[in-house]
Amino acid sequence: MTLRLPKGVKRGVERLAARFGHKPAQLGARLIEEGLRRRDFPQIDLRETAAGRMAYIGGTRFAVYWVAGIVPGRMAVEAFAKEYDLPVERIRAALAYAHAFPDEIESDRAHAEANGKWIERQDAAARSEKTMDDNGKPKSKEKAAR
Amino acid sequence: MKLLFDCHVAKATLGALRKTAPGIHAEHLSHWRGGAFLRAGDEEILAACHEERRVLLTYDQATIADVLRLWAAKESPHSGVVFADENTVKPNVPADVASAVAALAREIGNADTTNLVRYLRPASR
Repeated sequence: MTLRLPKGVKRGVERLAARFGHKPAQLGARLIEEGLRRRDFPQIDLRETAAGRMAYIGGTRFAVYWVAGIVPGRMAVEAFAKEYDLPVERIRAALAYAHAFPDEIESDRAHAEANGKWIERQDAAARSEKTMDDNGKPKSKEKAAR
Repeated sequence: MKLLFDCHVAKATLGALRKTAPGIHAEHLSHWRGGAFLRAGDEEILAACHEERRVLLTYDQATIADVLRLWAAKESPHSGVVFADENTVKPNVPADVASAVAALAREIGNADTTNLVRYLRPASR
């Protein structure tokens, strides 16, 4: 498929591609794909994050992968909507998105899990700092408790 | 200690924490600064927290950890992030979250929380 873009749009795609280090054709394909997703899932926001593109429930900080990990297995849709003051339709839209793009959601979940290991290491380091003295030796119980 | 609860934490946790540990000043993202950060990106929230020396408590481990690594590389400080995990401390059980936060705050005490990264563990009963 070949697309003919108006000059201004072409320039815009090229500028954006240069900014993110992509080829214009790759970026163009991605923008079209996102446009189709937005049309099919208007209640879902696709946002650029430090971890790459991530799907969120529109207007919130609830990532779709996170919601899909809780609902409906651990919490019913209605209970989640009530707890977080969100319309039920938006939760259903998130679940529908997760169902439509399982690989993406699994990748987000796996990334969160990998980050979880990094967080545990940071936590362990902070805890051991609290229990070590300046020479890296264990503090006495009394000192560590201070 | 000052805390900001991300959207994943049940709002009722604020009340539970006031009872458990009245010395901790917590805000919920839904009301903080008039709700201006409801859909804000991680970097915006971390920067705003740093202005107030506020520690962020979040359940989203997918993106903020990446921001912290980037900030560490460019030596941009933050005021601390506590990550929670829904398998360990359920976000919709306010009493459990409040107890875990209170226990962690006791452990941290008056220590400087700059660039601190901690994991929220259930309070021992």
